[in-house]
Amino acid sequence: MKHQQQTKEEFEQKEPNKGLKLRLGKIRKYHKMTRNVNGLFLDNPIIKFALAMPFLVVGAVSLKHSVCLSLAMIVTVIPLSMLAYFVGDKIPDYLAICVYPILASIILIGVKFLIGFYDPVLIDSLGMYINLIAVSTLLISQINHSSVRKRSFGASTLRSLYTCCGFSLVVISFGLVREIIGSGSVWGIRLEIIKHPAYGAQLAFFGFIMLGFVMALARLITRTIHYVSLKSAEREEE
Amino acid sequence: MDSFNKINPPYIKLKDNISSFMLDAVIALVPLYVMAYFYYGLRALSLGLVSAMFCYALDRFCFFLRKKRLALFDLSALITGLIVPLLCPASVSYSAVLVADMFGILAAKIAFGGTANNIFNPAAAAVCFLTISFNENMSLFPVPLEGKLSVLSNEFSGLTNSPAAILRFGGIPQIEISDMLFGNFPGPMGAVNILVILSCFIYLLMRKVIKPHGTLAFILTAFVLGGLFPRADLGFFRSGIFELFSGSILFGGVYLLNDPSTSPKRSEGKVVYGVVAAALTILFRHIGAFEQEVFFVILICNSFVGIIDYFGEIYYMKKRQKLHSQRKEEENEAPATN
Repeated sequence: MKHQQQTKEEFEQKEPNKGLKLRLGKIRKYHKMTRNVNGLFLDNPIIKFALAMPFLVVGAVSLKHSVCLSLAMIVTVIPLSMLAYFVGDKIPDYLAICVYPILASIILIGVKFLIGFYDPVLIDSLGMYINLIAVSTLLISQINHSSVRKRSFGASTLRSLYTCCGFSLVVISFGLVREIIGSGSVWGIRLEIIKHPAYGAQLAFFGFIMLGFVMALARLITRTIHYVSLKSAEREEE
Repeated sequence: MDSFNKINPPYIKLKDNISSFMLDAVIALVPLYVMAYFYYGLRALSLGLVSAMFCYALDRFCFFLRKKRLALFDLSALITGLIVPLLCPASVSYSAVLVADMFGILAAKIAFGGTANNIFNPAAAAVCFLTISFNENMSLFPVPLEGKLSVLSNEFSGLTNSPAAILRFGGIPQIEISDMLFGNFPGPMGAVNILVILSCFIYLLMRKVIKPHGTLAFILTAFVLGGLFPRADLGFFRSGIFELFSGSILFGGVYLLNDPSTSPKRSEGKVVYGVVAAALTILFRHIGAFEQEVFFVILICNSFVGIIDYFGEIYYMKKRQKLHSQRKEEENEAPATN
Protein backbone atom coordinates (compact mmCIF):
# COMPACT_ATOMS: atom_id res chain seq x y z
CA MET A 1 0.00 0.00 0.00
CA LYS A 2 2.88 2.30 0.91
CA HIS A 3 4.52 1.45 -2.37
CA GLN A 4 1.29 2.30 -4.24
CA GLN A 5 1.02 5.68 -2.51
CA GLN A 6 4.58 6.51 -3.37
CA THR A 7 4.05 5.68 -6.99
CA LYS A 8 0.94 7.85 -7.12
CA GLU A 9 2.81 10.78 -5.58
CA GLU A 10 5.71 10.29 -7.92
CA PHE A 11 3.35 10.20 -10.86
CA GLU A 12 1.63 13.40 -9.78
CA GLN A 13 4.98 15.11 -9.25
CA LYS A 14 6.08 14.16 -12.72
CA GLU A 15 2.86 15.07 -14.49
CA PRO A 16 0.89 17.39 -12.22
CA ASN A 17 -1.85 18.26 -14.70
CA LYS A 18 -2.66 14.74 -15.76
CA GLY A 19 -3.32 12.94 -12.51
CA LEU A 20 -4.52 9.36 -12.91
CA LYS A 21 -7.48 10.22 -15.11
CA LEU A 22 -8.13 7.76 -17.92
CA ARG A 23 -9.24 9.10 -21.23
CA LEU A 24 -12.08 6.73 -22.01
CA GLY A 25 -13.89 8.94 -24.50
CA LYS A 26 -12.60 7.10 -27.53
CA ILE A 27 -13.29 3.69 -26.03
CA ARG A 28 -16.85 4.75 -25.23
CA LYS A 29 -17.20 6.05 -28.78
CA TYR A 30 -15.94 2.72 -30.13
CA HIS A 31 -18.36 0.77 -27.94
CA LYS A 32 -21.24 3.00 -29.00
CA MET A 33 -20.33 2.56 -32.64
CA THR A 34 -20.15 -1.25 -32.42
CA ARG A 35 -23.00 -1.72 -29.92
CA ASN A 36 -25.41 -3.13 -32.44
CA VAL A 37 -23.03 -5.51 -34.16
CA ASN A 38 -20.83 -6.57 -31.28
CA GLY A 39 -22.58 -9.94 -31.05
CA LEU A 40 -20.88 -10.74 -34.33
CA PHE A 41 -17.23 -10.41 -33.43
CA LEU A 42 -15.73 -9.40 -30.12
CA ASP A 43 -18.80 -9.87 -27.95
CA ASN A 44 -19.52 -13.09 -29.73
CA PRO A 45 -21.71 -15.44 -27.66
CA ILE A 46 -19.28 -18.32 -27.98
CA ILE A 47 -15.95 -16.54 -27.96
CA LYS A 48 -16.66 -14.16 -25.11
CA PHE A 49 -19.33 -15.89 -23.05
CA ALA A 50 -18.77 -19.56 -24.02
CA LEU A 51 -22.50 -20.03 -24.66
CA ALA A 52 -23.61 -23.03 -26.72
CA MET A 53 -20.12 -24.49 -26.53
CA PRO A 54 -21.00 -28.19 -27.08
CA PHE A 55 -22.22 -27.42 -30.61
CA LEU A 56 -18.86 -25.91 -31.46
CA VAL A 57 -16.66 -28.45 -29.72
CA VAL A 58 -18.43 -31.66 -30.67
CA GLY A 59 -20.97 -30.80 -33.34
CA ALA A 60 -18.99 -28.59 -35.72
CA VAL A 61 -16.74 -31.21 -37.29
CA SER A 62 -17.43 -30.31 -40.91
CA LEU A 63 -18.86 -27.47 -42.96
CA LYS A 64 -22.12 -29.36 -43.57
CA HIS A 65 -22.61 -30.03 -39.86
CA SER A 66 -21.84 -26.41 -39.01
CA VAL A 67 -24.25 -24.97 -41.57
CA CYS A 68 -26.95 -27.36 -40.39
CA LEU A 69 -26.44 -26.37 -36.74
CA SER A 70 -26.35 -22.66 -37.60
CA LEU A 71 -29.59 -22.82 -39.57
CA ALA A 72 -31.30 -24.75 -36.79
CA MET A 73 -30.10 -22.22 -34.21
CA ILE A 74 -31.22 -19.18 -36.24
CA VAL A 75 -34.62 -20.69 -37.03
CA THR A 76 -35.20 -21.57 -33.37
CA VAL A 77 -33.77 -18.59 -31.50
CA ILE A 78 -35.15 -15.66 -33.51
CA PRO A 79 -38.89 -16.58 -33.49
CA LEU A 80 -38.74 -17.58 -29.82
CA SER A 81 -36.99 -14.38 -28.75
CA MET A 82 -39.61 -12.41 -30.74
CA LEU A 83 -42.33 -14.31 -28.92
CA ALA A 84 -40.60 -13.75 -25.59
CA TYR A 85 -40.60 -9.99 -26.24
CA PHE A 86 -44.41 -9.96 -26.26
CA VAL A 87 -45.33 -12.69 -23.79
CA GLY A 88 -42.15 -13.06 -21.74
CA ASP A 89 -43.36 -11.02 -18.77
CA LYS A 90 -46.73 -12.81 -18.75
CA ILE A 91 -45.32 -16.32 -18.41
CA PRO A 92 -44.06 -17.15 -14.90
CA ASP A 93 -40.50 -18.50 -14.62
CA TYR A 94 -41.48 -22.01 -13.53
CA LEU A 95 -43.65 -22.33 -16.65
CA ALA A 96 -41.16 -20.65 -18.98
CA ILE A 97 -38.64 -23.41 -18.22
CA CYS A 98 -41.01 -25.88 -19.92
CA VAL A 99 -42.75 -23.71 -22.50
CA TYR A 100 -39.76 -22.44 -24.47
CA PRO A 101 -37.95 -25.80 -24.80
CA ILE A 102 -41.22 -27.42 -25.94
CA LEU A 103 -41.78 -24.72 -28.55
CA ALA A 104 -38.13 -24.99 -29.61
CA SER A 105 -38.51 -28.75 -29.94
CA ILE A 106 -41.57 -28.28 -32.17
CA ILE A 107 -39.60 -25.95 -34.44
CA LEU A 108 -36.65 -28.37 -34.45
CA ILE A 109 -38.86 -31.25 -35.58
CA GLY A 110 -39.67 -29.22 -38.68
CA VAL A 111 -36.00 -28.29 -39.18
CA LYS A 112 -34.93 -31.91 -38.83
CA PHE A 113 -37.55 -32.98 -41.34
CA LEU A 114 -36.34 -30.40 -43.89
CA ILE A 115 -32.65 -31.22 -43.42
CA GLY A 116 -33.42 -34.95 -43.45
CA PHE A 117 -35.15 -34.40 -46.77
CA TYR A 118 -31.87 -32.97 -48.13
CA ASP A 119 -29.43 -35.35 -46.43
CA PRO A 120 -30.69 -38.03 -43.97
CA VAL A 121 -27.16 -39.08 -42.99
CA LEU A 122 -26.38 -35.56 -41.79
CA ILE A 123 -29.17 -35.64 -39.21
CA ASP A 124 -28.02 -39.06 -38.00
CA SER A 125 -24.41 -37.94 -37.70
CA LEU A 126 -25.39 -34.85 -35.72
CA GLY A 127 -27.05 -37.14 -33.20
CA MET A 128 -28.40 -35.40 -30.14
CA TYR A 129 -26.71 -32.10 -30.88
CA ILE A 130 -29.52 -30.80 -33.06
CA ASN A 131 -32.09 -31.61 -30.36
CA LEU A 132 -29.89 -30.01 -27.72
CA ILE A 133 -30.57 -26.60 -29.28
CA ALA A 134 -33.96 -26.66 -27.47
CA VAL A 135 -32.19 -26.30 -24.13
CA SER A 136 -29.07 -24.43 -25.25
CA THR A 137 -27.72 -21.57 -23.16
CA LEU A 138 -27.75 -19.27 -26.18
CA LEU A 139 -31.51 -19.73 -26.60
CA ILE A 140 -32.17 -19.23 -22.90
CA SER A 141 -30.03 -16.07 -22.68
CA GLN A 142 -31.72 -14.55 -25.73
CA ILE A 143 -35.18 -15.32 -24.38
CA ASN A 144 -34.27 -13.77 -21.01
CA HIS A 145 -32.88 -10.69 -22.72
CA SER A 146 -35.98 -10.22 -24.86
CA SER A 147 -38.37 -10.84 -21.94
CA VAL A 148 -37.16 -7.83 -19.95
CA ARG A 149 -37.89 -5.42 -22.85
CA LYS A 150 -34.91 -3.14 -22.35
CA ARG A 151 -34.95 -2.10 -25.98
CA SER A 152 -37.50 -1.71 -28.77
CA PHE A 153 -38.84 -4.77 -30.57
CA GLY A 154 -36.74 -4.07 -33.66
CA ALA A 155 -33.52 -3.58 -31.67
CA SER A 156 -34.18 -6.68 -29.60
CA THR A 157 -34.82 -8.79 -32.71
CA LEU A 158 -31.76 -7.34 -34.39
CA ARG A 159 -29.68 -8.25 -31.35
CA SER A 160 -30.92 -11.86 -31.53
CA LEU A 161 -30.11 -11.92 -35.22
CA TYR A 162 -26.59 -10.61 -34.68
CA THR A 163 -26.00 -13.05 -31.85
CA CYS A 164 -27.15 -15.97 -34.00
CA CYS A 165 -25.02 -14.71 -36.88
CA GLY A 166 -22.05 -14.49 -34.49
CA PHE A 167 -22.69 -18.07 -33.45
CA SER A 168 -22.94 -19.15 -37.10
CA LEU A 169 -19.78 -17.31 -38.04
CA VAL A 170 -17.71 -19.07 -35.39
CA VAL A 171 -19.33 -22.48 -35.87
CA ILE A 172 -18.93 -22.36 -39.66
CA SER A 173 -15.30 -21.22 -39.41
CA PHE A 174 -14.52 -24.00 -36.94
CA GLY A 175 -16.33 -26.56 -39.08
CA LEU A 176 -14.42 -25.48 -42.17
CA VAL A 177 -11.01 -25.58 -40.50
CA ARG A 178 -11.67 -28.89 -38.76
CA GLU A 179 -12.96 -30.48 -41.97
CA ILE A 180 -9.91 -29.34 -43.92
CA ILE A 181 -7.44 -30.53 -41.28
CA GLY A 182 -9.36 -33.59 -40.12
CA SER A 183 -10.59 -35.13 -43.34
CA GLY A 184 -8.86 -33.11 -46.05
CA SER A 185 -12.10 -32.00 -47.71
CA VAL A 186 -14.52 -29.06 -47.98
CA TRP A 187 -18.28 -29.76 -48.06
CA GLY A 188 -17.39 -33.41 -48.64
CA ILE A 189 -15.24 -32.65 -51.69
CA ARG A 190 -11.75 -34.08 -51.34
CA LEU A 191 -8.82 -31.66 -51.51
CA GLU A 192 -5.85 -33.14 -53.33
CA ILE A 193 -3.36 -30.85 -51.59
CA ILE A 194 -3.84 -32.53 -48.20
CA LYS A 195 -2.26 -35.95 -48.40
CA HIS A 196 -2.45 -36.93 -44.74
CA PRO A 197 -5.48 -35.50 -42.94
CA ALA A 198 -5.16 -35.46 -39.15
CA TYR A 199 -8.28 -37.24 -37.88
CA GLY A 200 -7.65 -35.90 -34.37
CA ALA A 201 -8.88 -32.46 -35.51
CA GLN A 202 -12.42 -33.82 -35.60
CA LEU A 203 -12.39 -34.95 -31.99
CA ALA A 204 -13.72 -32.92 -29.07
CA PHE A 205 -10.33 -32.20 -27.50
CA PHE A 206 -9.18 -30.36 -30.63
CA GLY A 207 -12.35 -28.25 -30.54
CA PHE A 208 -11.63 -27.22 -26.94
CA ILE A 209 -8.01 -26.35 -27.73
CA MET A 210 -8.95 -24.41 -30.85
CA LEU A 211 -11.63 -22.51 -28.94
CA GLY A 212 -9.06 -21.63 -26.27
CA PHE A 213 -6.71 -20.16 -28.86
CA VAL A 214 -9.52 -18.22 -30.58
CA MET A 215 -10.69 -16.83 -27.21
CA ALA A 216 -7.14 -15.70 -26.45
CA LEU A 217 -6.88 -14.06 -29.87
CA ALA A 218 -10.20 -12.22 -29.37
CA ARG A 219 -8.99 -10.99 -25.98
CA LEU A 220 -5.74 -9.77 -27.52
CA ILE A 221 -7.66 -7.88 -30.24
CA THR A 222 -9.99 -6.24 -27.67
CA ARG A 223 -7.07 -5.17 -25.50
CA THR A 224 -5.18 -3.84 -28.52
CA ILE A 225 -8.21 -1.76 -29.57
CA HIS A 226 -8.53 -0.34 -26.05
CA TYR A 227 -4.82 0.41 -25.87
CA VAL A 228 -4.75 2.11 -29.26
CA SER A 229 -7.87 4.15 -28.34
CA LEU A 230 -6.31 5.31 -25.06
CA LYS A 231 -3.01 6.22 -26.70
CA SER A 232 -4.63 8.15 -29.54
CA ALA A 233 -6.79 10.06 -27.01
CA GLU A 234 -3.66 10.95 -25.06
CA ARG A 235 -1.88 12.09 -28.21
CA GLU A 236 -4.83 14.24 -29.24
CA GLU A 237 -4.93 15.89 -25.84
CA GLU A 238 -1.22 16.67 -25.96
CA MET B 1 29.47 -10.51 11.47
CA ASP B 2 26.55 -12.23 13.18
CA SER B 3 24.02 -10.46 11.01
CA PHE B 4 26.01 -11.47 7.94
CA ASN B 5 25.79 -15.11 8.96
CA LYS B 6 22.03 -14.90 9.40
CA ILE B 7 21.44 -13.83 5.80
CA ASN B 8 20.28 -16.62 3.56
CA PRO B 9 23.20 -17.43 1.35
CA PRO B 10 23.13 -16.60 -2.34
CA TYR B 11 26.82 -17.35 -2.35
CA ILE B 12 26.49 -21.10 -2.98
CA LYS B 13 26.54 -21.83 -6.64
CA LEU B 14 25.53 -25.30 -7.73
CA LYS B 15 27.41 -26.94 -10.54
CA ASP B 16 24.19 -28.54 -11.79
CA ASN B 17 21.34 -26.37 -13.03
CA ILE B 18 18.29 -26.74 -15.25
CA SER B 19 20.34 -26.34 -18.43
CA SER B 20 22.77 -29.06 -17.39
CA PHE B 21 19.86 -31.39 -16.49
CA MET B 22 18.35 -30.78 -19.92
CA LEU B 23 21.69 -31.39 -21.57
CA ASP B 24 21.94 -34.69 -19.67
CA ALA B 25 18.48 -35.67 -20.95
CA VAL B 26 19.60 -34.86 -24.52
CA ILE B 27 22.75 -36.93 -24.02
CA ALA B 28 20.62 -39.81 -22.74
CA LEU B 29 18.58 -39.71 -25.94
CA VAL B 30 21.56 -39.80 -28.30
CA PRO B 31 22.35 -43.55 -27.86
CA LEU B 32 18.77 -44.36 -28.88
CA TYR B 33 19.31 -42.44 -32.12
CA VAL B 34 22.59 -44.31 -32.69
CA MET B 35 20.72 -47.62 -32.35
CA ALA B 36 17.92 -46.36 -34.60
CA TYR B 37 20.54 -45.40 -37.20
CA PHE B 38 22.03 -48.89 -36.94
CA TYR B 39 18.65 -50.56 -37.50
CA TYR B 40 16.92 -48.19 -39.95
CA GLY B 41 19.61 -46.04 -41.53
CA LEU B 42 19.92 -42.32 -42.06
CA ARG B 43 16.16 -41.72 -42.07
CA ALA B 44 16.02 -42.18 -38.29
CA LEU B 45 18.60 -39.45 -37.78
CA SER B 46 17.01 -37.08 -40.29
CA LEU B 47 13.59 -37.50 -38.62
CA GLY B 48 15.12 -36.66 -35.25
CA LEU B 49 17.06 -33.68 -36.58
CA VAL B 50 14.09 -32.18 -38.43
CA SER B 51 11.77 -32.66 -35.46
CA ALA B 52 14.23 -31.25 -32.91
CA MET B 53 15.08 -28.19 -34.99
CA PHE B 54 11.41 -27.52 -35.70
CA CYS B 55 10.41 -27.75 -32.02
CA TYR B 56 13.29 -25.53 -30.92
CA ALA B 57 12.52 -22.91 -33.58
CA LEU B 58 8.78 -22.97 -32.83
CA ASP B 59 9.38 -22.58 -29.10
CA ARG B 60 11.68 -19.61 -29.66
CA PHE B 61 9.24 -18.05 -32.12
CA CYS B 62 6.39 -18.35 -29.59
CA PHE B 63 8.50 -16.71 -26.90
CA PHE B 64 9.37 -13.95 -29.35
CA LEU B 65 5.65 -13.38 -30.03
CA ARG B 66 4.96 -13.21 -26.30
CA LYS B 67 7.82 -10.72 -25.92
CA LYS B 68 9.49 -12.87 -23.30
CA ARG B 69 13.12 -13.78 -23.03
CA LEU B 70 13.98 -17.43 -23.30
CA ALA B 71 17.26 -18.72 -21.91
CA LEU B 72 19.60 -19.70 -24.70
CA PHE B 73 20.18 -23.11 -23.15
CA ASP B 74 16.53 -23.93 -22.53
CA LEU B 75 16.62 -27.27 -24.31
CA SER B 76 13.17 -28.49 -23.27
CA ALA B 77 11.73 -28.04 -26.76
CA LEU B 78 14.74 -29.85 -28.20
CA ILE B 79 14.03 -32.80 -25.88
CA THR B 80 10.39 -32.88 -26.99
CA GLY B 81 11.51 -32.79 -30.61
CA LEU B 82 13.96 -35.63 -30.05
CA ILE B 83 11.50 -37.84 -28.14
CA VAL B 84 8.59 -37.66 -30.63
CA PRO B 85 10.28 -39.45 -33.60
CA LEU B 86 11.71 -42.09 -31.25
CA LEU B 87 8.17 -43.16 -30.41
CA CYS B 88 7.15 -43.48 -34.06
CA PRO B 89 7.95 -46.08 -36.69
CA ALA B 90 10.98 -45.16 -38.80
CA SER B 91 8.60 -45.10 -41.77
CA VAL B 92 6.48 -42.25 -40.38
CA SER B 93 6.09 -39.27 -42.69
CA TYR B 94 7.85 -35.99 -41.91
CA SER B 95 4.62 -34.03 -42.16
CA ALA B 96 2.96 -36.21 -39.50
CA VAL B 97 5.87 -35.68 -37.11
CA LEU B 98 5.87 -31.92 -37.70
CA VAL B 99 2.11 -31.66 -37.12
CA ALA B 100 2.50 -33.64 -33.89
CA ASP B 101 5.42 -31.42 -32.80
CA MET B 102 3.33 -28.33 -33.46
CA PHE B 103 0.49 -29.76 -31.38
CA GLY B 104 2.84 -30.71 -28.54
CA ILE B 105 4.55 -27.32 -28.38
CA LEU B 106 1.54 -25.07 -28.99
CA ALA B 107 -1.26 -26.91 -27.21
CA ALA B 108 0.58 -28.69 -24.40
CA LYS B 109 3.41 -26.28 -23.64
CA ILE B 110 3.04 -22.67 -24.82
CA ALA B 111 -0.68 -22.53 -24.02
CA PHE B 112 0.17 -23.16 -20.36
CA GLY B 113 3.01 -20.63 -20.18
CA GLY B 114 6.03 -22.48 -21.54
CA THR B 115 8.83 -24.37 -19.85
CA ALA B 116 8.13 -25.61 -16.29
CA ASN B 117 4.55 -24.30 -16.38
CA ASN B 118 3.08 -27.05 -18.51
CA ILE B 119 0.66 -29.46 -16.86
CA PHE B 120 0.88 -32.10 -19.56
CA ASN B 121 3.99 -33.61 -21.06
CA PRO B 122 4.36 -32.07 -24.56
CA ALA B 123 5.99 -35.16 -26.06
CA ALA B 124 3.26 -37.46 -24.70
CA ALA B 125 0.58 -35.07 -26.02
CA ALA B 126 2.27 -34.99 -29.43
CA VAL B 127 2.48 -38.79 -29.66
CA CYS B 128 -1.16 -39.15 -28.56
CA PHE B 129 -2.21 -36.70 -31.28
CA LEU B 130 -0.10 -38.61 -33.78
CA THR B 131 -1.61 -41.94 -32.72
CA ILE B 132 -5.17 -40.66 -32.99
CA SER B 133 -4.71 -38.70 -36.19
CA PHE B 134 -2.35 -40.89 -38.18
CA ASN B 135 -3.12 -44.35 -36.84
CA GLU B 136 -2.24 -46.06 -40.13
CA ASN B 137 1.19 -44.43 -40.06
CA MET B 138 1.72 -45.38 -36.44
CA SER B 139 0.54 -49.00 -36.35
CA LEU B 140 2.78 -50.54 -39.02
CA PHE B 141 6.53 -50.79 -38.50
CA PRO B 142 9.53 -51.58 -40.73
CA VAL B 143 11.57 -54.66 -39.87
CA PRO B 144 15.01 -53.71 -38.48
CA LEU B 145 18.14 -54.46 -40.56
CA GLU B 146 16.07 -55.32 -43.65
CA GLY B 147 17.57 -52.67 -45.92
CA LYS B 148 18.04 -49.03 -45.02
CA LEU B 149 15.01 -46.79 -45.42
CA SER B 150 15.02 -43.93 -47.91
CA VAL B 151 15.55 -40.53 -46.30
CA LEU B 152 13.10 -38.56 -48.44
CA SER B 153 10.43 -41.05 -49.52
CA ASN B 154 7.27 -41.55 -47.48
CA GLU B 155 6.09 -44.73 -49.23
CA PHE B 156 7.41 -48.02 -47.85
CA SER B 157 6.65 -51.67 -48.38
CA GLY B 158 7.15 -54.64 -46.09
CA LEU B 159 5.73 -52.94 -43.03
CA THR B 160 4.48 -55.26 -40.32
CA ASN B 161 2.72 -55.34 -36.95
CA SER B 162 4.61 -54.94 -33.72
CA PRO B 163 4.61 -57.61 -30.95
CA ALA B 164 2.37 -55.26 -28.93
CA ALA B 165 -0.27 -55.53 -31.69
CA ILE B 166 0.10 -59.32 -31.80
CA LEU B 167 -0.45 -59.45 -28.03
CA ARG B 168 -3.47 -57.19 -28.38
CA PHE B 169 -5.09 -59.67 -30.74
CA GLY B 170 -4.36 -62.55 -28.33
CA GLY B 171 -1.39 -63.98 -30.27
CA ILE B 172 2.04 -64.91 -28.98
CA PRO B 173 4.95 -62.93 -30.51
CA GLN B 174 7.76 -65.13 -31.79
CA ILE B 175 10.78 -63.18 -30.58
CA GLU B 176 13.87 -64.29 -28.73
CA ILE B 177 14.58 -62.55 -25.44
CA SER B 178 18.03 -61.49 -26.75
CA ASP B 179 16.44 -59.81 -29.78
CA MET B 180 14.01 -58.14 -27.42
CA LEU B 181 16.80 -56.77 -25.25
CA PHE B 182 18.64 -55.35 -28.27
CA GLY B 183 15.46 -54.01 -29.89
CA ASN B 184 15.80 -56.21 -32.97
CA PHE B 185 12.07 -56.45 -33.69
CA PRO B 186 9.46 -54.20 -35.36
CA GLY B 187 8.39 -51.36 -33.13
CA PRO B 188 8.83 -47.65 -32.41
CA MET B 189 12.39 -46.87 -33.47
CA GLY B 190 13.65 -45.70 -30.09
CA ALA B 191 11.37 -47.35 -27.59
CA VAL B 192 12.32 -50.99 -28.05
CA ASN B 193 16.07 -50.89 -27.36
CA ILE B 194 15.67 -52.19 -23.82
CA LEU B 195 19.35 -52.42 -22.84
CA VAL B 196 20.10 -48.95 -24.17
CA ILE B 197 17.12 -47.46 -22.34
CA LEU B 198 18.20 -49.14 -19.10
CA SER B 199 21.78 -47.87 -19.57
CA CYS B 200 20.46 -44.35 -20.13
CA PHE B 201 18.30 -44.74 -17.00
CA ILE B 202 21.41 -45.60 -14.98
CA TYR B 203 23.25 -42.62 -16.52
CA LEU B 204 20.42 -40.24 -15.57
CA LEU B 205 20.37 -41.70 -12.05
CA MET B 206 24.12 -41.28 -11.66
CA ARG B 207 23.91 -37.69 -12.87
CA LYS B 208 21.06 -37.17 -10.34
CA VAL B 209 18.79 -35.83 -13.08
CA ILE B 210 15.97 -38.17 -12.05
CA LYS B 211 14.97 -40.12 -8.96
CA PRO B 212 14.44 -43.89 -9.28
CA HIS B 213 11.22 -44.15 -7.23
CA GLY B 214 8.64 -43.40 -9.90
CA THR B 215 10.28 -45.43 -12.66
CA LEU B 216 10.93 -48.47 -10.48
CA ALA B 217 7.39 -48.43 -9.07
CA PHE B 218 6.04 -48.11 -12.61
CA ILE B 219 8.14 -50.94 -14.06
CA LEU B 220 7.60 -53.35 -11.16
CA THR B 221 3.85 -52.76 -11.06
CA ALA B 222 3.57 -53.15 -14.83
CA PHE B 223 5.56 -56.39 -14.66
CA VAL B 224 3.48 -57.86 -11.82
CA LEU B 225 0.11 -56.81 -13.25
CA GLY B 226 1.18 -57.86 -16.76
CA GLY B 227 2.08 -61.29 -15.36
CA LEU B 228 -1.08 -61.61 -13.29
CA PHE B 229 -3.40 -60.64 -16.14
CA PRO B 230 -1.88 -62.11 -19.32
CA ARG B 231 -3.40 -61.26 -22.68
CA ALA B 232 -2.18 -64.46 -24.32
CA ASP B 233 -1.51 -68.00 -23.13
CA LEU B 234 1.81 -67.17 -21.49
CA GLY B 235 3.13 -67.83 -18.01
CA PHE B 236 3.46 -65.17 -15.32
CA PHE B 237 7.09 -64.36 -16.05
CA ARG B 238 6.88 -64.39 -19.87
CA SER B 239 3.69 -62.38 -19.89
CA GLY B 240 5.24 -59.79 -17.60
CA ILE B 241 8.37 -59.57 -19.74
CA PHE B 242 6.40 -59.27 -22.99
CA GLU B 243 4.16 -56.56 -21.55
CA LEU B 244 7.20 -54.66 -20.33
CA PHE B 245 9.43 -54.94 -23.38
CA SER B 246 7.08 -55.16 -26.36
CA GLY B 247 5.60 -51.65 -26.25
CA SER B 248 6.82 -48.30 -25.03
CA ILE B 249 6.35 -48.90 -21.29
CA LEU B 250 10.04 -48.78 -20.45
CA PHE B 251 10.67 -45.67 -22.53
CA GLY B 252 7.66 -43.93 -20.99
CA GLY B 253 8.76 -44.95 -17.51
CA VAL B 254 12.30 -43.63 -17.93
CA TYR B 255 11.88 -40.49 -20.04
CA LEU B 256 8.31 -39.25 -19.75
CA LEU B 257 7.34 -40.24 -16.23
CA ASN B 258 10.31 -38.31 -14.83
CA ASP B 259 9.61 -35.00 -16.52
CA PRO B 260 10.26 -32.58 -13.61
CA SER B 261 7.41 -30.19 -14.40
CA THR B 262 4.74 -32.88 -14.85
CA SER B 263 5.64 -35.36 -12.10
CA PRO B 264 5.16 -35.20 -8.31
CA LYS B 265 7.82 -33.47 -6.24
CA ARG B 266 8.16 -35.93 -3.33
CA SER B 267 9.50 -39.48 -3.59
CA GLU B 268 6.37 -41.00 -2.03
CA GLY B 269 4.25 -39.10 -4.54
CA LYS B 270 6.40 -40.44 -7.35
CA VAL B 271 5.79 -44.00 -6.15
CA VAL B 272 2.01 -43.46 -6.09
CA TYR B 273 2.21 -41.83 -9.51
CA GLY B 274 4.20 -44.76 -10.93
CA VAL B 275 1.89 -47.42 -9.48
CA VAL B 276 -1.27 -45.69 -10.73
CA ALA B 277 0.25 -45.13 -14.18
CA ALA B 278 1.29 -48.77 -14.47
CA ALA B 279 -2.10 -50.07 -13.34
CA LEU B 280 -3.87 -47.83 -15.85
CA THR B 281 -1.46 -48.86 -18.62
CA ILE B 282 -2.18 -52.55 -18.09
CA LEU B 283 -5.92 -51.81 -17.88
CA PHE B 284 -5.78 -49.82 -21.14
CA ARG B 285 -3.84 -52.64 -22.77
CA HIS B 286 -6.79 -54.90 -22.10
CA ILE B 287 -9.59 -52.52 -23.04
CA GLY B 288 -7.89 -49.78 -25.11
CA ALA B 289 -8.02 -49.24 -28.84
CA PHE B 290 -4.38 -48.35 -29.46
CA GLU B 291 -1.07 -50.14 -29.03
CA GLN B 292 0.81 -47.25 -27.47
CA GLU B 293 -1.53 -46.52 -24.59
CA VAL B 294 1.20 -45.57 -22.12
CA PHE B 295 1.23 -42.00 -23.45
CA PHE B 296 -2.51 -41.59 -22.96
CA VAL B 297 -2.04 -42.89 -19.42
CA ILE B 298 0.78 -40.42 -18.78
CA LEU B 299 -1.46 -37.56 -19.90
CA ILE B 300 -4.25 -38.77 -17.59
CA CYS B 301 -1.82 -39.14 -14.68
CA ASN B 302 -0.34 -35.67 -15.38
CA SER B 303 -3.69 -34.19 -14.44
CA PHE B 304 -3.50 -35.83 -10.98
CA VAL B 305 -0.01 -34.58 -10.14
CA GLY B 306 -1.37 -31.49 -8.36
CA ILE B 307 -3.61 -33.64 -6.14
CA ILE B 308 -0.77 -36.07 -5.37
CA ASP B 309 1.50 -33.15 -4.42
CA TYR B 310 -1.24 -31.59 -2.28
CA PHE B 311 -1.82 -34.73 -0.24
CA GLY B 312 1.93 -35.37 -0.18
CA GLU B 313 2.50 -32.00 1.49
CA ILE B 314 -0.26 -32.71 4.06
CA TYR B 315 1.36 -36.07 4.80
CA TYR B 316 4.77 -34.41 5.25
CA MET B 317 3.36 -31.66 7.44
CA LYS B 318 1.76 -34.23 9.77
CA LYS B 319 4.98 -36.23 9.80
CA ARG B 320 7.00 -33.14 10.76
CA GLN B 321 4.48 -32.18 13.45
CA LYS B 322 4.71 -35.68 14.89
CA LEU B 323 8.52 -35.53 14.92
CA HIS B 324 8.46 -32.08 16.48
CA SER B 325 6.09 -33.18 19.26
CA GLN B 326 8.22 -36.29 19.91
CA ARG B 327 11.35 -34.14 20.25
CA LYS B 328 9.58 -31.79 22.62
CA GLU B 329 8.44 -34.68 24.76
CA GLU B 330 12.00 -36.02 24.84
CA GLU B 331 13.34 -32.61 25.82
CA ASN B 332 10.75 -32.33 28.59
CA GLU B 333 11.54 -35.80 29.86
CA ALA B 334 15.33 -35.28 29.84
CA PRO B 335 15.55 -32.63 32.66
CA ALA B 336 13.07 -34.61 34.74
CA THR B 337 15.26 -37.73 34.60
CA ASN B 338 18.39 -35.64 35.35
